[in-house]
Amino acid sequence: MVQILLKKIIAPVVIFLLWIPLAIGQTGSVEGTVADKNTGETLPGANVYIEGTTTGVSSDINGYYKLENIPVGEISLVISYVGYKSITQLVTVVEGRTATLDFQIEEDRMMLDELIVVGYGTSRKRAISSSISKVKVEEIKDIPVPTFETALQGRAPGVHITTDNGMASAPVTVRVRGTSSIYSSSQPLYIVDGVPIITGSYTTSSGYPDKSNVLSLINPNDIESIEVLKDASAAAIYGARSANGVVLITTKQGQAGKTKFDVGYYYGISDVTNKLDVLDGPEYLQFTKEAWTNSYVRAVKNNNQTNIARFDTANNYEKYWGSLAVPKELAQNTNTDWIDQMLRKGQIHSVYLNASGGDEKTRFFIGGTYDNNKGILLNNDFERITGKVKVDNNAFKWLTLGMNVGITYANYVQVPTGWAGGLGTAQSRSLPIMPIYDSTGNYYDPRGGTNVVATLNSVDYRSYQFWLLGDIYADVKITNDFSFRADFSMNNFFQRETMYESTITREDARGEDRRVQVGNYNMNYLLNYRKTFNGVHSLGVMAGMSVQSVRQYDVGLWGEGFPSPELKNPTSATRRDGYGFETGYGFLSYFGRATYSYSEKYWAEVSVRRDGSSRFGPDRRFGTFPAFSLGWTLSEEDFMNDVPVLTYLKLRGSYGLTGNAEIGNFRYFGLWGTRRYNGEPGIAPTNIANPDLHWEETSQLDIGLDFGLLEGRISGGMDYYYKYSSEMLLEKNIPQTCGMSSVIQNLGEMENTGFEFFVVTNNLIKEFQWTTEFNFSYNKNEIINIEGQIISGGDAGGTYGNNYAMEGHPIGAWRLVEFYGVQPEDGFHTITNAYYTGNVDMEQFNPNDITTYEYGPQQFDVSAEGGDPLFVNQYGEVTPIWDFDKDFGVFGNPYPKFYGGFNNIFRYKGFDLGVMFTYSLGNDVYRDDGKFFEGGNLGSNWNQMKTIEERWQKPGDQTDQPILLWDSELSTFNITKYLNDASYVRLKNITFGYNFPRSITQKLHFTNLRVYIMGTNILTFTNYPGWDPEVNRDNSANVTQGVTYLSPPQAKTWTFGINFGF
Amino acid sequence: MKKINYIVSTLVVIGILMTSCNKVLDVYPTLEISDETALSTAEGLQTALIGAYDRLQSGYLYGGRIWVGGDMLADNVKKSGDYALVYEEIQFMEKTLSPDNLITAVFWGDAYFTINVVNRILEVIKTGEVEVPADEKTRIKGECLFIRSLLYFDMVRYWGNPNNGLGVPLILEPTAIDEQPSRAAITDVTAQVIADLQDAVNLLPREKQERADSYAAEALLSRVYFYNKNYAEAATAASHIIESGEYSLVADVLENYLDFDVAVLDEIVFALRSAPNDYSCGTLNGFFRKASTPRFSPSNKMMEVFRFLSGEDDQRFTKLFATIEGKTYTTKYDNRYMHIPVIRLAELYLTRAECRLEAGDTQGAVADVNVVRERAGLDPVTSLTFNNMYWERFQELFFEGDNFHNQKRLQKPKVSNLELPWNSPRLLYKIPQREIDVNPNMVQN
Repeated sequence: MVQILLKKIIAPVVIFLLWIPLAIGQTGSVEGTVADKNTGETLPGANVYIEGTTTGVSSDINGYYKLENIPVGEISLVISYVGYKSITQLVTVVEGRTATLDFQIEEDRMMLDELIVVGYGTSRKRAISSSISKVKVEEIKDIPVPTFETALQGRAPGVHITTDNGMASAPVTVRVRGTSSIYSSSQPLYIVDGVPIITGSYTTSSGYPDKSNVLSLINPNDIESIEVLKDASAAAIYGARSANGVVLITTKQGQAGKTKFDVGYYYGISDVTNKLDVLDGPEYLQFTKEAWTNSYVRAVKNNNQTNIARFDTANNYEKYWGSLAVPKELAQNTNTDWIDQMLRKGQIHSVYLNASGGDEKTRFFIGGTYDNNKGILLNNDFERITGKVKVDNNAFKWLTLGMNVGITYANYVQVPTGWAGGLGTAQSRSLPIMPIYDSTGNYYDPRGGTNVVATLNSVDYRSYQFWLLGDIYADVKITNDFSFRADFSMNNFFQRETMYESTITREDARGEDRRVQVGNYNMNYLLNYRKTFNGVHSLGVMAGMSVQSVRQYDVGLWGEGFPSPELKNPTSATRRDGYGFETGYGFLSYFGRATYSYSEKYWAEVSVRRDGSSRFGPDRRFGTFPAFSLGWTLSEEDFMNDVPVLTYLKLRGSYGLTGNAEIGNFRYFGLWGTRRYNGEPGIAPTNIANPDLHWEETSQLDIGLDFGLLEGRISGGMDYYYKYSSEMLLEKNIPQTCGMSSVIQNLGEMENTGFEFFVVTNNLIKEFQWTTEFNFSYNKNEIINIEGQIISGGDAGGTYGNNYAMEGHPIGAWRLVEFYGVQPEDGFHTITNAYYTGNVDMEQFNPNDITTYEYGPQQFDVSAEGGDPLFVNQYGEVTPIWDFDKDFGVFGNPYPKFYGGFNNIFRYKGFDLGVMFTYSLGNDVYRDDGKFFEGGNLGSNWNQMKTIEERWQKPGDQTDQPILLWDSELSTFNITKYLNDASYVRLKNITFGYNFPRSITQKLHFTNLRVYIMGTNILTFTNYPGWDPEVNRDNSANVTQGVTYLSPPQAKTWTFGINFGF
Repeated sequence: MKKINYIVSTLVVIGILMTSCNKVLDVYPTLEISDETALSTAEGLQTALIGAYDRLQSGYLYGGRIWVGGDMLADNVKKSGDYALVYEEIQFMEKTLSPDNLITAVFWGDAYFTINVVNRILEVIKTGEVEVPADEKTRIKGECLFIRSLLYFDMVRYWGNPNNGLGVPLILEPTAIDEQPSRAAITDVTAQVIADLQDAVNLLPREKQERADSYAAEALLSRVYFYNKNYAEAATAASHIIESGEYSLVADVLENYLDFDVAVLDEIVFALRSAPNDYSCGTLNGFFRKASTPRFSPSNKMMEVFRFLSGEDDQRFTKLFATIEGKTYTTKYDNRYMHIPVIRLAELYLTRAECRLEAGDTQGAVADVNVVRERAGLDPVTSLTFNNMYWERFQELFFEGDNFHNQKRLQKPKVSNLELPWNSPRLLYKIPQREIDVNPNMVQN
């Protein structure tokens, strides 16, 4: 302690005392301006200070600075400014004189000393040898998205983002370097200011397939930067939960100085990106009648008496008219565009106000926002109010205390989509021959589920969400090199959902009220040591522990039969029942990290984390996750001086182990849940015990390089990675004859191999500036081993979409029968008999009935009628007859091969123009609705896509659309016809802005004033035939990706905004 | 020194907090109980038995689809147009059942789930490791055997392949998760069902109960015999019920489908029960009930049968069907709080009638059929043919899971709109693909 006292207290005092006479004695001044070297524009807010002291000022709005009362003699003046290279200049101060010194500083394009947030700390960019992508606030600011992840799309290499649909609080699928799990979650771990937060959706499943997204409760305006930890070395400090990458979000913080206010507002209008063409009323009648006639003709041809009677065309098609969903008169006189009834022009308002400032001791940030987003689907509204306070205080020289609280309240009005109704029904089961209102002005058939206008007005479904993220911390500086930090945080989510469906669409009105409460409590303790020896050996050591405890409590009540339409709370209902849910989990972790660098040239880092989780049995609870990285900055070597064009070059590599435990709670227990029958209590098994259950592991090798050319005019980086997941947590299907269908086990291996590249070029840097950013990612996923299982999307926790996990294929590939085309005229196809047994019995055998093939010869001809769909069987033969069991193949990949973004920013005077494209290439979407939607089955009471106009009509027609039939097998199987390449290039963002010159802002007493217009999802280039290629029916399961089932399209938005500060 | 105090006190507080950290990993389920405690008491066995009944009322079992699956394959129902059929239902209508058809796959899974629960109860009773009063033990055992027999009988009717004699795997005790049983012969499954039901008849109380009783077991036994063409035994078992005096045909044909919250029923020998806020019948309502925007309505052919064979005199025609806005619906499943009849007395009369006809006792057969006809408001008949019997059964038991199997029993040459032979593989349920994938011993239909 004595030493510390000497160092910390006595030394400064002595130094201070030594200065006193000088200070009191002779002083002078320095003044001047700071400007940009390239543009000549003056720079407000640049720091000018005397090296080694705290004496300094910031340049004012005109870039002017003045330092007064400076002791005479030679001093080193340092000029630093964010994003610019610092310069140091020697100045001789003469007593009583004012020296004038103007500085021109140069933009630092490499930004090697920029601080990057890493797990439990920060690091300079140059010191990082792992793979981390940083996205700065300026890049995503003001983009009208309800949730911040969307704005990251195309901006970080290796991070693939799909906004699942165009709803106002849409879930977002984020994959960092591919999918590394089959059954566990593949969404990354989200950390906000050090706190692992609640994610996912807590909306009830009550028939609403398109869920909400808790992350939409984080205000994008509060975010300062987002770092994505991609490789094992960066992520492994988050150990068991980091196999899918880690997204670190840092929120804004106050700076010492005058209190600054920031205000922004934008207004936007939105519309669908594309409109689906479906049949109108007369077309619907034309095509269904044609199908009826065709069915009759076929029945006659095949002499099927039952069907001849069924499809009788006598009496002017009396039976046909009787088989339509509405009476003849009505059908002939109705033409409803149901899709139009469900859509509207969306409107967005967003306003924010931030204030920040502070002094040497205390800094603060206060911010608030209000957003009101009326989505493109009628009634789909999302309203959000957020507030945030962040305060830091240097209580003592050695103690900093801080608090950070963010609160969000949101009100979300949900509308049904997909199979549940709304737009999904409007494009399918709501037929154009059905009217909205009957002749008396009441809803037509409101209870049939097809009158979506009636449903929309009958159902009111909202969720009120409250989010709190609070954190307090203390930072103790034990010595100059040694510090300790403790923080406690809580992240709470409350949700009240109310749903009411009136007697318009139901016999008895129904009300439901559901409460969800999620509490997430965290503690972190960190010890940090950092020291540089002999000026060249830098050592950093960090050790810590963290504890997380999460509980969820749900309770709900539903009731049916209300005494009055005024009463909607289920407690007022005559029949009512309640339900509830309770779960929880805990994590306990110890971790450490050591970094070493020599002379800013050679870098090494090693980290290890030991994690325990309540999700595994007492014997298998803990897992250890080590990682290391090495870096070599070649450009610091003498021999590189000969290559002046190369400003910066760093080689780096890392290897490590990360984990995944996102399987839900209590899975290792053998459990019986409660049941009831006839009012009596019962129990039944729910889960098979597996005390051996343990962590899923992913190892990752990363080799990368960062470069800068021509003083940073061109910079970028590239990475190769290989991720290998093993001990995967998988629901293993077991014979159901044992009573259960699956047991969760650790089994299987999967790999992801990828390459990422990004480059930023400053093409023009003078008055007219042009910067280009391009990134490119390639990922290849393959399942190596899952013990031969073929796991369907449904078995892997998703909905059905015919995706499977199969060995030797990418996860989510489809099992489909290959569609070949349409038989142009009656003919024959020779096929090999897959059922050939040798017992040929031509009596029993019928070449057009596959169930008799066991009696057939080895090869034979099958007849195909003109217009029949043709398929490719397992022998590669074209055939009209096929068997799903034997003839299916594996097709497609829901994840893209290549994806990324291409961004150009132009600046001239106060004007700027940003043009951002994103692209996704090589991914497929399976239109699960296609089989009902595209000529499969005209008698199914589904409206059809206009593409059926291309149907086969007469012998000789060459087309891909089969003959229309009233009912056909075509709608009962999944075939490649509906699997489409969903590659797209999209003009994701275009921004045109103007920053008013200082001459104007000064008069208005503003520090800055900007107006802009921005377009989002403006143009899409794709061959995909559905609504929108960027679609995902279900983001909760890794296997069921790239599927649409009447999913709502994306929105395109134009916004007009203004920002100013004072 | 002040600083040291701060630091020390902070560390002490943190140290205290840290010692309690290990507890964070001890999180236990609060809504479920463990394997170890579930079947460790007599009460546990009883609640597990209720759990088995609960699964019987699944929408994929007796809560709905077991009744309708056959009628879809036989085209006794058609889509109503009020509510769209799902893809799996369209496969039924087109007779293109695929191995991944969810309707058949969940039937399979729910059935073996229930069988496993009763097998586990039977195992505990057999080993005697839990103290259970003797009379309760026999009753629980009898109910377990009844439930298991009911399921195996219906599974073998849907999956049993008459072309190769393969039934379904016969699981009679708790099995390990890695066991890969083969399909047992239809005859073996049937023999087991008969043996178990014979046991159940003796084990269960010979008085009317809300859950399975001795009468229920014997009535089911009669049905099993009948479908296996053992007409003598079928008639004997049916006679035991008919002559027990415990059951009588209700006066109004609708009444069977209206009773609710009644301890014992007049005509229904076994039903899946509904209690307040605990209904079994929601799925069936959704299939047929007009006000529930149903998926199905009776086929045109069915309506023609009623029109031409019995007409307006038939109360089943006038009361069990309703024509609304030009479309016809059945009212059988209109009650939202109904018990679902599994076996009723009328079936046993018809069963005995046909058995008597087989035995050459036409007068006895006529007498039995007339009991059912008279209740429906029809004139008695004086003679009977097997063809008459077929339509009597068709009319009385429509949408109660009889006709499709009856067509197969009678080996009808043209089943459904597609006019398929009774033994066409297209009329068989497929073994679920997931089962084929994990069990190499499983042979597909």
